[in-house]
Amino acid sequence: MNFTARAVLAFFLMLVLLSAAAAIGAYRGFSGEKAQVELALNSLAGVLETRIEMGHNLLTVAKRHLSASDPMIQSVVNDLAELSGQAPLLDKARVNERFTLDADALLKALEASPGVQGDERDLGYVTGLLPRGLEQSAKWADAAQYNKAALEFNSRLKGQLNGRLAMLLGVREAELFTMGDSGI
Amino acid sequence: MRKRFIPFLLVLMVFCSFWTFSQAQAAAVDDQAAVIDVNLAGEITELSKLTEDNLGIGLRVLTKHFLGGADVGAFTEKALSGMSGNENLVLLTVIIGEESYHAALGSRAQEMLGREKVENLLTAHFRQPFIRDRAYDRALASFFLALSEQIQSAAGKKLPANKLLLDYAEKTAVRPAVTSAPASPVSWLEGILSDAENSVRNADRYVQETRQAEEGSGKGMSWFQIALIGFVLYKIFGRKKDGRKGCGPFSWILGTWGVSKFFGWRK
Repeated sequence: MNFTARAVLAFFLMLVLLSAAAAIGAYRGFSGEKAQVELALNSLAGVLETRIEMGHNLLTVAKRHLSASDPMIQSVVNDLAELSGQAPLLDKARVNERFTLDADALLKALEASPGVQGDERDLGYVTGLLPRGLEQSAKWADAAQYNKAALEFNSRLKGQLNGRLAMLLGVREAELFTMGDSGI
Repeated sequence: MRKRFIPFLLVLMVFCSFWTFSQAQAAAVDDQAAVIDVNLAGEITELSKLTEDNLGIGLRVLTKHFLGGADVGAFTEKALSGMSGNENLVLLTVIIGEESYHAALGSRAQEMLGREKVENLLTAHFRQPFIRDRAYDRALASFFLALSEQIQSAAGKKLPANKLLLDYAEKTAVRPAVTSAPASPVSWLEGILSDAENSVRNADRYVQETRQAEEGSGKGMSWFQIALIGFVLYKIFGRKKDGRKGCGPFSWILGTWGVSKFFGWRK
């Protein structure tokens, strides 16, 4: 093999090694970032526990003044069952949005009910502690924070050559939570 | 100098003793629901000190508005197990908004009093004023008076003469529950969540992890590193003094800067 052939071979070998290094680097980097996005999604589970607790607190008061078969109570019961179940976290995040609306409707109905109006303690709960607790837990479990992180990751993944390389090697886009998906 | 220092020391000592006293007073009653009269809480603490010093059994009360679906029995047993010297304690947990309660007994208290007797005392002295009348002070005073008598009878010893809780046990006025949320961010949550600290911790973790995920790894090359790489490339492949054609250092640095953007290597 003459000098030119060896030089060309060495040049191609260098290109292959450089490409491999870039690909491995891209894969490792984006895999790590994807793992961080998934970690953020998993930590949403912890805050959803607080939502479940607040839901139980609301039901405790509601069952004293409305029939257990009341559709509004049933909606909240169903939401809590789904939030406590084995559904994927993104589905739970969607149910959490529905729970916010259902809990709000139930609180309004309770506030207007004669039973609560005649009960100083429960009226205090329905107009004071429960709405404030629900609001606080909703702030904590705000899926938009996760969505923002996932969107940033996806734009990095799709907007850079490194990201494209990582996608070729199997790194997928982060899932997004969208209200439209569930038809809620 | 010495004359000035002594009064200062005395004030400091008085302040410290008051502080220690107030800490000790607060120990027997943890009123997270803010429904117990402050003076009653003080009397329960005093009674607990008497029973603890003379008969070896301490009294504890924990109030909350809600437990978030947790079982009051399991919650109380867990809370008792986390208290120091729990084998000598009787802990009564009162959940105002759920209208439920439970008494947990440490091993020595259980041996001395028996679970059945404490349950009977709760039914006879606590249940009606708590659930029907919502007279929380009266319910607690009646129960702890009866319990202290039971402890004295089981121990075969009398407590020093005192009038603790008597006034409250006879009162019939109903004191409404405080249901407005107090100002402190954790304290009002403590009353409605089984473990507010854990909830706050989870919320903080979620915020931190989403922020980290949003920012990405943060790894990338600085301007200086890009310029350095551009310069090294210029030295290897760039224009030479011996006449070899090629770009100058600035072009190489600019090119490296462009390529780093393309690959997403910049910070």
